[in-house]
Amino acid sequence: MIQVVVKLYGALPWRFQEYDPEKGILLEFARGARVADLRSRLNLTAQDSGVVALDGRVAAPGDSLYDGAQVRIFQMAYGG
Amino acid sequence: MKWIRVNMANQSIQVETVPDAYSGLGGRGLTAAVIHAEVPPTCDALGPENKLVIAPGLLSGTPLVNTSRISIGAKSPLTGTIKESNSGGKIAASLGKLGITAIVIEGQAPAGHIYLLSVDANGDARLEAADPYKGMRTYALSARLLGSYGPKNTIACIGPAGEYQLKSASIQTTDVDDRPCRAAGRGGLGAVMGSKGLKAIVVSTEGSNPDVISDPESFKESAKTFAQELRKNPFTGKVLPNFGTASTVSAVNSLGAFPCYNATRGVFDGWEKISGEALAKLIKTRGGKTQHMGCAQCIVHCSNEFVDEQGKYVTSSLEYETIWSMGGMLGIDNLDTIARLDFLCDDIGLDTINTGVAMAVAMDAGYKSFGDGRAAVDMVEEVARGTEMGRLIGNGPDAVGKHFNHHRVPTVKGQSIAAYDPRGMQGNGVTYATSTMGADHTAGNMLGHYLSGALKPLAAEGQVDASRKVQIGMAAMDCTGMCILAGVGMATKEASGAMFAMLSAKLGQAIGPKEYAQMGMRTLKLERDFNQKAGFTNKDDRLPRFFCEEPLPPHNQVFVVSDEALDQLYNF
Repeated sequence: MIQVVVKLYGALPWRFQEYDPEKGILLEFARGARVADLRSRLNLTAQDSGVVALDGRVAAPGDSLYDGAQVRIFQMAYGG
Repeated sequence: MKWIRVNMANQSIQVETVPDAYSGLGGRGLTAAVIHAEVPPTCDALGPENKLVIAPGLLSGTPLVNTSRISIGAKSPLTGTIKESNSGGKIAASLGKLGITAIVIEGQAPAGHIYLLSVDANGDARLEAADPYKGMRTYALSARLLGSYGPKNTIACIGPAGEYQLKSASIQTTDVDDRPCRAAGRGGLGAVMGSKGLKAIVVSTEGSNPDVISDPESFKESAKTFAQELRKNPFTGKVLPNFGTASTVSAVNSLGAFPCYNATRGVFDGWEKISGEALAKLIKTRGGKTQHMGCAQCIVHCSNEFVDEQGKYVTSSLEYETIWSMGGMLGIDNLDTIARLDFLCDDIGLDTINTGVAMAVAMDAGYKSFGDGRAAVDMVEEVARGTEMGRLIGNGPDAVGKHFNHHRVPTVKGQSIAAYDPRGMQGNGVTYATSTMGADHTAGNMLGHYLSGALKPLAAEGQVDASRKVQIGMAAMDCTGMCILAGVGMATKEASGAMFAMLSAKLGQAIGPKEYAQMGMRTLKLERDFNQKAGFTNKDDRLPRFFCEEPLPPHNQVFVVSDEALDQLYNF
């Protein structure tokens, strides 16, 4: 198994009552899990417009997760 | 529709119908046409031959939501290029409802004299002496003027920075709460207004003579559709109301493209203390406001009211760009300090972006330390006091860099970059380099392309083509008076279809995607032609060398789009 820390931004934390912004959420996946599995686990829909960033880059659904990965998920932004 | 020309030299006002040459134009399309036709490109931007054009957009004053953006155009004293700077608040909707297509300020008042222009509910304009308001900061000025002219007015004004004719001087406009906290910030147009001896413009909000819409029923239906799309869109419907533009802090830091400590790193250590989430939490805890309506007819409500620990008003609205320029760029991770700097810039009449970057260059040169909030506040106050350092800061990063002989000055044609590092977002670098107005992020921001995965931010491939399309689209949108954030709503077929239908109904001619793009291309071609006649060549469409030589952590990337590729941008 692998463990991944996920930090959420925007309105995404609101759906998790106990969410701690300092710690994020620790999730476990089977080895070989991908970003799509993470999105599925968190029930991210198109309406959430969640963007997954891994290692400073936007991660595609097919990208692999690895043990100890720090994932940030924020909502789509267009600047300001 | 009315066309008002104000001659500051003899204080005369001429009112006519819109000249044929400018018929069917609005916003940036109109300012570009007037400046191109009537301002000698090699003139002194602070001299009598320059003109200040104030133009609501084509859709300002109509029932469509989010269309109160005013375009203000001139030759910029900061860049030497043509410039359109736009601002929110109430003034664009008010001028639209008065049936005024443009106000053109010409000439210069006699030395030592300043004036105020008022436009009443009938659309009649008057110039009067404004000596009692000399030197006034914008908050006190706005309160005085609304006291004298009545609450059903809105104001565009300059502070001390504009009166000193400093190159980072802004024109502030009042928001829905009558605070002068919206800004036509970029390009030093406040200095142009000051050079003309014009302190303020007071415009009645009670106009009832807007331009006729040739198909009002069709317009109404399309406006409803557009508003529905804005509400459905997660960005405009949820993220912006709750977190404002500050929601962008987490995104850009997560990509490693947040230029901090004078653009020496791409991730700010303290970014989570100044993020949109931190800002929203602090504001709510203290009894301030999120989901605040800043501009007339806005349904997005991205603005906020920042208050101190006692719940007392500090500033509105604290935006992403200011959080960056006064936060990350200076190494400051304290929202109270950043909010104070935001207020000071609004009050003194300064572009927060150019001013923050000017101070970042000063800190990088060793004048003060990064992270010294007290020093930053003192530097901005010096601008209002007119000290030697204050004049340097107020004249922007190039002036500061030259004074300290510092090599790392992140500007293009004198205007500073914004909150996206070109090494971490190559397409934004293309926009900064090639925009007709210096380093200007709103001219063509590519953030959406990167976050959607449509384009890779660190590679050269595809950036020029994408920047070209976005710049054309933005130039077109800037003609309409629509807010750039609401423009995101145009991403759906329903919203863009509604927009084209409304423009068609307003103008009485078929406007589709092709005609809309042509509006943008025409605007850009006029602007570029002006710049070329002012002496600019493709050699000026370049980023400062350090972006190409100094890798930016964490990706350790330099700007890799070639000069040859940049020179292809205007192939249309």
